[in-house]
Amino acid sequence: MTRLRAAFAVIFLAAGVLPLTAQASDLTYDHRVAGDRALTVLIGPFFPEAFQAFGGKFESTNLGTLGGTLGLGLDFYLDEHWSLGGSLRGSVAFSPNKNTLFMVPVTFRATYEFKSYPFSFPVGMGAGISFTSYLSSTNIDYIVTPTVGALWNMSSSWSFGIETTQWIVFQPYLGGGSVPSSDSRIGYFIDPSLTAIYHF
Amino acid sequence: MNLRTWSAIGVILLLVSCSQGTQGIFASIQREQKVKSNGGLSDGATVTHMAEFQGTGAASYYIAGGGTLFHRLTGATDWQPATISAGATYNRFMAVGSAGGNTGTLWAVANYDSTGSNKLFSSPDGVNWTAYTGLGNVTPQNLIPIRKSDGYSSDSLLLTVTDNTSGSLSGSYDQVFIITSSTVGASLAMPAITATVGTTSTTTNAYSFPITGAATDGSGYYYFINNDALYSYNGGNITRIPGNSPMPTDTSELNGHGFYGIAVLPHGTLTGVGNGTTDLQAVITSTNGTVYWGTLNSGTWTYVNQVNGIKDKYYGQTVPMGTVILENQTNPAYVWMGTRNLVTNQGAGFVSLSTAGVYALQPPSGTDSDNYNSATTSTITTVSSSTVTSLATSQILLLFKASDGSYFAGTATQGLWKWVASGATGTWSQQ
Repeated sequence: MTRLRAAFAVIFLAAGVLPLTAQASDLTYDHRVAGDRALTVLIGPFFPEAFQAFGGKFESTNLGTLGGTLGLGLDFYLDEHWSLGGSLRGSVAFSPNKNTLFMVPVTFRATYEFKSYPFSFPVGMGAGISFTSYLSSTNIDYIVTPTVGALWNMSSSWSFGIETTQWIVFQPYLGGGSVPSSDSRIGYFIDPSLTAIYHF
Repeated sequence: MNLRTWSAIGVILLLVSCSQGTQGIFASIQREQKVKSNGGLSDGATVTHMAEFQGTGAASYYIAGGGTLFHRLTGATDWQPATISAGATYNRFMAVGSAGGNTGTLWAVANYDSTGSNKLFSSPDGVNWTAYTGLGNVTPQNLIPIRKSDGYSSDSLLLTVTDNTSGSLSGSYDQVFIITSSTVGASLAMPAITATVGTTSTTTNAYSFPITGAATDGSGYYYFINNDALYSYNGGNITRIPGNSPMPTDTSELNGHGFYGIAVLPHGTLTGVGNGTTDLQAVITSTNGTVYWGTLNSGTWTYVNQVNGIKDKYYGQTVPMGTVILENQTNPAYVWMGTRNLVTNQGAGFVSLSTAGVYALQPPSGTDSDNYNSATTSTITTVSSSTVTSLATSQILLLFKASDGSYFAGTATQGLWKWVASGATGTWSQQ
């Protein structure tokens, strides 16, 4: 049965959310209550959406249409629905000359899970800093990360599904340094990721 | 560190992105331009000649003009330089053109050795070149595509040469050669003319000006044009049209107007010109700013009308016209003409003549009514929806249609541009 569940988990990861209710109908979720923790691993594509001057209009990022992202997260349940935690992610995107833009955000987040047995739909908001590196420049930027997801709770320990996070990266320059304030931008990216969560 | 220092660090971390360099990361990515590895072809290159050729190699474009021959696969974006002989002294290419179609022969006028003397070369594949030795005592100067009567394609080349013999013909353009596929035809003498210098009348074919435009009607007639007149050839002698009148006597509406380019067009292309079902048409450009059109059948030119290109911004300065081609990817079609020198090395982009009965000369973007002025009508029709400043202020020395329907414009100082039709207009991009 365990092997079968694992096989279903792989299929589920590949295909997204599927109505596999029969597999979970007799399970109890004893790791989704206050004091429990959830370790999240995610991987997925990374899509640059737009750059925006502060107060300006949305413009093309000039980055390639596809990059990639990896992520780790650790959350602590406050009750059956609410959790607090943190996330570490890494993403790459590519410029017209194939130079690589690296962004590594570290965020703290609060998540609320809507539950419809055996599925749960987390909605969260994160905020933190992003280490942003491109060619010889490195920044510490500010980032806000609203997230929505759809998870299938396969067992009391494992959940699988998709999480989509909107990255809003603030890159302000005050003009006092070598970079003019006119180079201030807000960057918008999105990463729909396959997610596996271990509850313990 | 004291509390004030920690506070300052905290404020900085809270408010300011830490960066090296002089540009914001996102902003610099936004501004980043893709670097073309064009093998040395710069955006400021001179491009005078172009060919699309496969031969025994891969289907490629070839361009020349600034002394270097560049080639690229037709589906690629980056140009690569070519050489006559690796390690040669010069490897300077003056002209390139194909004859005999896509699998015929690629021809070039180039010099590569320490003499610096032009030679004619042929290549079956664009890589291996062989010097042609059967021209006689002449120096090759230029290869001119002989445009077919569709107004844009070319299957043969006209080779212009200067005479190396001593005497009055030395250095003159007294003969030409027609190149079809791998064959160079016999030397064709330009017709003798009678010129009066002072009170002395002299008969000579020591031409000071080369042929600059060539076309054929598909039934054996070739048409050449130089600064002074239009000529025909159909297997006998080259004949001046009309007749052998001495130049520059103004015996026809064409004489003495700095003619430069010619395009023979299918019947009915220009609305209301000649018999729309039987007459071939022709458009002739001049560096004096006048564009002529009429019919051209079996060596007979019948003038119909003309229009002047005047660049109002420069107080009535005329727009010198050059190469000419039919653009038939839009409906209606247009006759495009390249402009030549206006001020120093600056031109006025390409000029467009509508075929739909609105015979106005139009600027490249078609929206600047203060750019060109038509002597016939002030109606302006948009040709391209985008304004391309560097193209619009260039000398256009080359207009070329590729087999995929795109058009190329070679400029004096702004490199090569490609136009792709989109609906009733099109988009230019620098190559």
